[in-house]
Formats: sequence, structure tokens, C-alpha cells
Amino acid sequence: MAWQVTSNISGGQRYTAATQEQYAFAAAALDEQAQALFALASSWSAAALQLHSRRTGTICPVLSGAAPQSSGHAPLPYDQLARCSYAQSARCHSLAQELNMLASLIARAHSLYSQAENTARSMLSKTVHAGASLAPGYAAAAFGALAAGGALSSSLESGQFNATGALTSTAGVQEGMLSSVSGYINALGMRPGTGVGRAAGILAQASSRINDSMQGNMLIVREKHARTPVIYESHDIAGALTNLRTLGTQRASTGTSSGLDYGTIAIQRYRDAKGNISWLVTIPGTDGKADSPFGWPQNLEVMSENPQQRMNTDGARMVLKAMAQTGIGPTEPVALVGHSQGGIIAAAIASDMQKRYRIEHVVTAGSPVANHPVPKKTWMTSIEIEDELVAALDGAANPVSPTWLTIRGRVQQAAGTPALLHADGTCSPGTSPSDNPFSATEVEDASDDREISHHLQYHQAAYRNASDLGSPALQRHEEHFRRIVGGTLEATGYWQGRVHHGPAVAPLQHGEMNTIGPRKP
Amino acid sequence: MHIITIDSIRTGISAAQNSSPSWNAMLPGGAVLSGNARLPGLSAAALVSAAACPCQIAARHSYDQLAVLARTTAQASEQARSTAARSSSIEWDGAAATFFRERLNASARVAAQLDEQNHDIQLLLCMGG
Repeated sequence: MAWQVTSNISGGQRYTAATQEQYAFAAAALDEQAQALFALASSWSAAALQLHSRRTGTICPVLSGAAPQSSGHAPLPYDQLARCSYAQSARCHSLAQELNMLASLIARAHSLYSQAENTARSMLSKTVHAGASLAPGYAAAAFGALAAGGALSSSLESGQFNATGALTSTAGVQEGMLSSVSGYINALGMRPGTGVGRAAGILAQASSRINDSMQGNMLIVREKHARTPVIYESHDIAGALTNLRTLGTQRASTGTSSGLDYGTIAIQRYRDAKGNISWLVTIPGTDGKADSPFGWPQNLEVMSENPQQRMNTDGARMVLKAMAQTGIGPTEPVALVGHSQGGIIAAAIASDMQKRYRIEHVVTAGSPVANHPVPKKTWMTSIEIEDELVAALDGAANPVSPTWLTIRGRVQQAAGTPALLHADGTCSPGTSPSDNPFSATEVEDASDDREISHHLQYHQAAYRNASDLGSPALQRHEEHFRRIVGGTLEATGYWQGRVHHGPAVAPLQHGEMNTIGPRKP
Repeated sequence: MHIITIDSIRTGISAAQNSSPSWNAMLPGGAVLSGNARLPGLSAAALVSAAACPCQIAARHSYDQLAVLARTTAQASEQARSTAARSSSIEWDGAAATFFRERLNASARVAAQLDEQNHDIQLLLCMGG
């Protein structure tokens, strides 16, 4: 079973109001024509039925032989007229569908309904938040019922236990529920008010101590040399995402031909025709290894509303150390691209290190970064999947601004897939193909069964679909990113982080191994 | 067989029933026939006498219904072509934009087919008898 992603875009720079009005007018006009043609199709179809009825139900005494012959009693060619009427109905319906599809294409490409969609989503989140705050028990039960229903649905579809449907069925209420839960945590932590960042910070105060006692807080950062090329020169966001995914797959602790493994980031140096240097930092997501700076507990810390807490995270410390060791200058443009925790770290660095580095563009995939105080001068390109849950952990929608563009992907079964007969005799229905190649983009390397859409290939498909639409806002973001990585790649450095107990170790050689002491209290 | 003009048929029908204003719109291009235009195959006297016959009532209802539908479809087709032409000129580049304009052109052709089918229906109605 193939899977595909349909993307919607919000934020970013648009054309002038007059041009936007042109798009809106064109979409509305096409939609209006489509509705008129749908109605006509119904009317022609009804007319055909009535013609049939008149042909069979009309009794003429002359034609039936009951009265003398006289002219003027010849019947209409009802059969031919009915066939023509059916043909007109089908043609009207087909044309209506076409115009409807084209109206939808304009709307998606130019984000015509993004404001309304964002407003609706925000209202739903606030309603869920309010409901959960007033009646938490009922809200939890309702959420559980939704999740259970979704899990049951996905299990039945795949013929085995598969709970990913729970994420899909609760996608619309995740932000509101998380926002409500954060309120409770904040109250318990004696810091009333909403905000997932505050709640994350409260929880992280405990989790970080526990983690430090288990993992240690002595961070070692060393430069690694890949035996084989891992990531390559990239000049656009799609290329950067491909490199991000490749780097993430090196997290297997053994068996990679490159010699790289988990807890590894990449820093690439570009030089343009004028000799200006710029940088691209690639940060994979949580690997969950016991001695990795990108472990599970670190997610809470880097989501905190407290800047010091954020920058004290093992992952953030590691990336900053690597950037310093690489020699990135304070005036040299830097782009950061990260998946999941990697994206959160990227947004945190952009928020908290703006005086130290010139972070010009951040690309995040599946990262809950809505609450990070990213300065307006830093362009954000955020890619989220509706039901991946992780991106909703911030309990809020991303800001909508000329410099913050968000691509939201919705996963569905790919069109044109055949029905599947499972070994136990159950079957999954197939779908008919869509004749609009831009309605969705297929996910590469997706599992046949419904899986968690937090995997990076889903975000890649979402970006490709959005990019194919030719959205002016996305094109501007792409151009802005390309200006940073438009030069020639000069060098790629890989940096690995490990966390353990023990005293600080003196660096052996400059640039080869560095140890960062315990985190600041 | 007498050759009857549209005017005489219309007069005859009007004598027995309210005349149908949709007769004019049934013709190709919606043009109004002059009093000298001709429809073969129908006898005015027979039509007048058969005006109240069930088959003629059914025929008239069918004429009216299809005439209205044809006129509405012609208007919708014209508007669809006009909308397609205007939409094609919006500022938009890329593969999706190219696809959009190609499909708009295809839609205009389908709209033209609607008009052709309208014409065929009108001919069938006129040839009935």
C-alpha cells in the first residue's frame, strides 16, 4: 500500500494584495462555475429520466390505434433525446469536477484559505483547551475514545495490531489537549499559566537531574572523518532534507560503511563567487541512545521557555561546540536544518545565539518550535505532518509571518492502489487514481502498513508536494535558503557527541576532541 | 404533407394552450426564426387538433424542459469559457501552473462540446414528428 502527502502552506511572503485578489477571484469564479455545472448535470440526468417516463407512460389514442389516423401525433425521439441528455449530464459533471479541481489547485498553491484554516484550527484548539480545563475527566475519556477508535481502525486495515491510527484520529485535538495539560503542569509547578514551554521547563528540571544521574553530564565532542561520503553538496531545501535523512540513517551503531554513527551532526562550508563564506549545519533527530546528547529526555529541556535551560541541553551544547570548533564567524551566514529534536535545537540556537551567530535560515521537519522566540530576521521553513503528534507538542500553531512559512502535510493512502487481500482473508480496499499529479506526492520508502508519519520521508514528500505547487511564498523561502548555500561546497565536517560520567578530559589536539564540562546549574 | 412555418405552428399551439416562449431559444445559436422559416414534417391543422392529445402535451413538456436546459447550459458553457480565459492569465509559474493552463484549455474544449450536444438536441426536437 503506497502512501502520499498533500500539503498546505501558510505564512511566508505573498504577492501584493491586488495579485492575491486576482488569485482569490479566479478560484471563486472557477468554483462558482463548477457548482452551476454540477446542478446542471443533475437537471440533465433528471430530464433523461423524465423523457423515459413520458415515452413509456404517455398513451396517444391515435398512435395506439384506438382513434383514426391523423397527422401531428408522431412521438418525439425520446430514446435519442434521453441518451443525449445523459451525455450532457455526464459532460457537465466532468467539466464541473475539472473546474473544481483547478479551483482547489489555485487555492492550495496560493494559500488562499490558510487564514481561515488557521483560524478554524486555533478555535478548535482553544475550545478543546477550554473543555479539557473545565472537565478534564470527560476530556481525557473523549480523547481516549478517539484514540482507541483510530487504533482499532488502523489495526483492522492492516490485519494486525497497529496503533498509528490513534495519532490520525486525534490529530485535530492534539494541540488543544497538550496546551491544557501544560496548564495543569504549570499549576502543579507553582507557575500558573498556559504554555507548553513553561511546562517543559518545569518537567525538565526534574528530568534533567534524573538523566544526568543516569547518563552523566560530561559531554565529549569529537570530529569524525567519514570513510565514505555521507552527505553531499546541496543548494536547495530538498537537497538539505535528503542530506539530513542520510545523516540520520548513520545512527546504527555498527555496520555503516562510513564509520559514522549516532549523535553525529554535519557542518558544511560554502564559498560563493565573491569569496564569501557561508555555512550549513545538519542536525538529525532523537536517537535514544544511552550516551547520546540527542536522547529522549533532552527533548524536554530544549523545549523550555527558559533560554539558559535550552542552551544547557546536551544537544545544543554539542552543536554550539562543533560550530565554534569549526570556526564559524559571527558575521558569516548560517543555515540550520534539523529533524525532530534537531529542529528544536536549531530553533533554540536561532533564538538564543543571535548575538553570537548570524543564523539566517532554519529548516525544521517534525519539530515543535511554535513557542521559540526566533527573531524575525531569521527565516523559518517548518514542515509538519498533521498526525505525527511530535510537531504538535508545542501546543500551538506556528506564527504566520513573512519570514515564517509552515508546510502542513496530510497523509492518505495513495490514489490508484489496488485492493489488498491479507493472509487472514481480510482485505483493504483500493483507490482509483487521481488525474491531478499535484494533488499529492507519494512517500518514498514508506511501509505498506500505516506507520508513524514522523519519519523524515513524510516531510520530504510534504515539501516536494508544496514545492511543486509553485507557491510564490515558498519560492521566496527557497531563494532565501539558496542564497546561503548557493556557493561551492568547500568542506564537510562531521562532529560526534557522547555523554558520560566522569571527570573532564583534556583535549588531545585542537579540533580533534573536545570535552565540555558539566552543564551550568 | 403541408409545409408549415414556425409562426403558424406557434399560433396554432397558442390557440389551444399558452404559447411556449422557449421555442425561440431551442434553435441553433438561440436565434429567433423569422416568420418565413420552416420546419418540415408537421401539419398545422393536425397540430391544432392534436394540441390536447397526451402525446403532444408530453412533447410540449419535453420541448420546454429541454429548451430551458439547453439555454442554461449554453450560458454556463459561455461563462465557463470566459472564466477559463481570465483564470489562465493569472501570475503563476512552475509545473503546477503549466498543468493548470493546459487543463483550462481542455475545459474550454469540453465546454464547446456541450454546445455541440445542445445543437444536436435542438435538431432532434425540431425533427420530431
